[in-house]
Amino acid sequence: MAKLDRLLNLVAALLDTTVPLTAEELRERVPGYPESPDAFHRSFERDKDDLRELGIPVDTVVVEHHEQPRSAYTIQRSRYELRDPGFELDELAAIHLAATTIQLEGLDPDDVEEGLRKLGGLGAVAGAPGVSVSGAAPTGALPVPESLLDLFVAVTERREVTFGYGDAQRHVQPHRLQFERGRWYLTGFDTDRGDKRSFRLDRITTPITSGDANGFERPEQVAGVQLRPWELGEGQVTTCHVLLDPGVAKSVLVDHPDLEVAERRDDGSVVVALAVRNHEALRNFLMTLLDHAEVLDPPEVRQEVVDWLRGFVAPQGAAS
Amino acid sequence: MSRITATDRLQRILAVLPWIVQHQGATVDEICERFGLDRKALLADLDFVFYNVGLHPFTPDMLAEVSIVDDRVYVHVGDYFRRPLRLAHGEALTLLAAGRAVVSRPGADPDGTLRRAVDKLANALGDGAAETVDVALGTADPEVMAGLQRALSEQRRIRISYYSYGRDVSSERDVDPQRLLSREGRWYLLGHCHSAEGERMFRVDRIRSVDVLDEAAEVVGDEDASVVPGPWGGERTVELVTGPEAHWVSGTYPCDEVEELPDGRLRIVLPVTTTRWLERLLLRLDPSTEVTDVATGEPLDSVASDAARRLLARYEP
Repeated sequence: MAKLDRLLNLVAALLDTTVPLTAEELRERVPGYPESPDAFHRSFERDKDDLRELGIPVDTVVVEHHEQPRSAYTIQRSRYELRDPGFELDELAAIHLAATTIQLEGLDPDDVEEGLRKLGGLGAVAGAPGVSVSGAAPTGALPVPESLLDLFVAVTERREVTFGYGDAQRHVQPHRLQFERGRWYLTGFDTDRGDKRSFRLDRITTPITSGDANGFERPEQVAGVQLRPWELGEGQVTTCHVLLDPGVAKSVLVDHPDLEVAERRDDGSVVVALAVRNHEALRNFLMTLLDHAEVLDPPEVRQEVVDWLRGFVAPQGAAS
Repeated sequence: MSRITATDRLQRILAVLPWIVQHQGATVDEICERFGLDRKALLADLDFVFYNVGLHPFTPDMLAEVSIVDDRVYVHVGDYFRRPLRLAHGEALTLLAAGRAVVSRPGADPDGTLRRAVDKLANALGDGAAETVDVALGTADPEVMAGLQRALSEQRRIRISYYSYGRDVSSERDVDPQRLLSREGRWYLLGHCHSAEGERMFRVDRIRSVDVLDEAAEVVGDEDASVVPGPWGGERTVELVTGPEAHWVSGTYPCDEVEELPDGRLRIVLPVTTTRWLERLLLRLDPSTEVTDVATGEPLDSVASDAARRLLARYEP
């Protein structure tokens, strides 16, 4: 295990040093490198790549060495070390259990154990108090779009990102990632449009380009993605009252918990007040409810619905 | 131990060593159990550290010191390995997203162990990480969710009032629940339905109420949880010829074929399980859409017009 030997001592030397060390200096301090200069440089480069691949932040700085610029290396402890989360054993077990019931499709499944070891152990799932491993534990799978990991890094390290979306390039300060209704969304500040925007990750068309860390201030409160499509758009807001029959009222309210309820009737039906900017989106929403919902007012929106429906019953060729 | 690469082993040592250093005298078994290692692997790692790790010039005072006395482990190593390496991005995302997903499920204990753990994890990842990732595996009425979870853990039969979206009717059913799972952003209950006399998937957000009955649920053997529920039994396959604005259909529903026709219109072939479902789709597409049953070649234009008449009856009695 000459390689493991070398890598461990390389990490130790880079963490211990207060000044960056050149390749030659490291060769003196770390045993196990080949004699010939070429072979040494090849294996030193490979070792650096291996360490970086594990997420070890090996920094390269240029130093003056006998009046010649040379590359030198160091690992900053502040960037290497994990902040101690102070987990109790039952908390580790709870995280472990959560990670075994929810899979992120496409990420390395070993990440769970590797991560937990750094955090202080896997926890003894079966024995930990307060952790239920009964059949009641729900299971789920989350898709992992290509851009998710890069965006996660950008959000946590506050890096501005650029990506293709539809047919345009977008420049965004990313604030928040959300998985809602089966899709990942990014919400952030669109610097070209000067406003908050949300993006579907499955519509991002290019790899993510990220700027420097700490590139912007994250706002105190980040509102999430807006999933009531009839509220999106630029036009005037019209308040529409929609009557929902008892059969659909509950599931609509579960799906849209923040809807304003204007009236609850004795028969179980509910009148909701919708703030409508996008009339087509409202219509689409109404059509999924079939004849279990009805626009009560204003009259012009009622008329829009009627006109749309008449389009389907007007004679169109030889419909039976 | 299967073959393990030098970097895998490096990763393990860098993670476990700081804990051992901070917990002098922990037993070999305790360390193995905590970190999910077998005894042989741990002893090999310790042996390795003992002989090989240190700083230049590798005089005895610069080398690691490992001793195992009465199965208790003592390690002295330079300050450089005092803390584990921070989480790699994939590790952080996996643990945080899974934790938040389970914490945010309807009816979860807001002060529970996992909630505390996720907060600590987010804190260790850095400032503000707590607010950066949210995962909602599905919407559901917390009362319904709580009822289902109680029935599952007590293995009891339930009576549910269920709205069947496809057939557009509500019914009462007795179900022996087997498990809850989330797929594509929805919660599903998998169970044996006594009305249908078979295994069924129920969408939890369409369960209007749950009564946990006194009868025990019949426990069925380990069912295959990987079965992805789909409303797509494929009762029949239809062909739509519609306007180009209907591109959203292929991004929303599984389609067999999507083709752009020379005149710019779209031809979409997709499976449809129920008439009600097809009605909802057609009423959102352009009224000039042509619909055909692929198997019979029969036009299905009356599906949309019948539905439209039913809706109009509400507006023009």
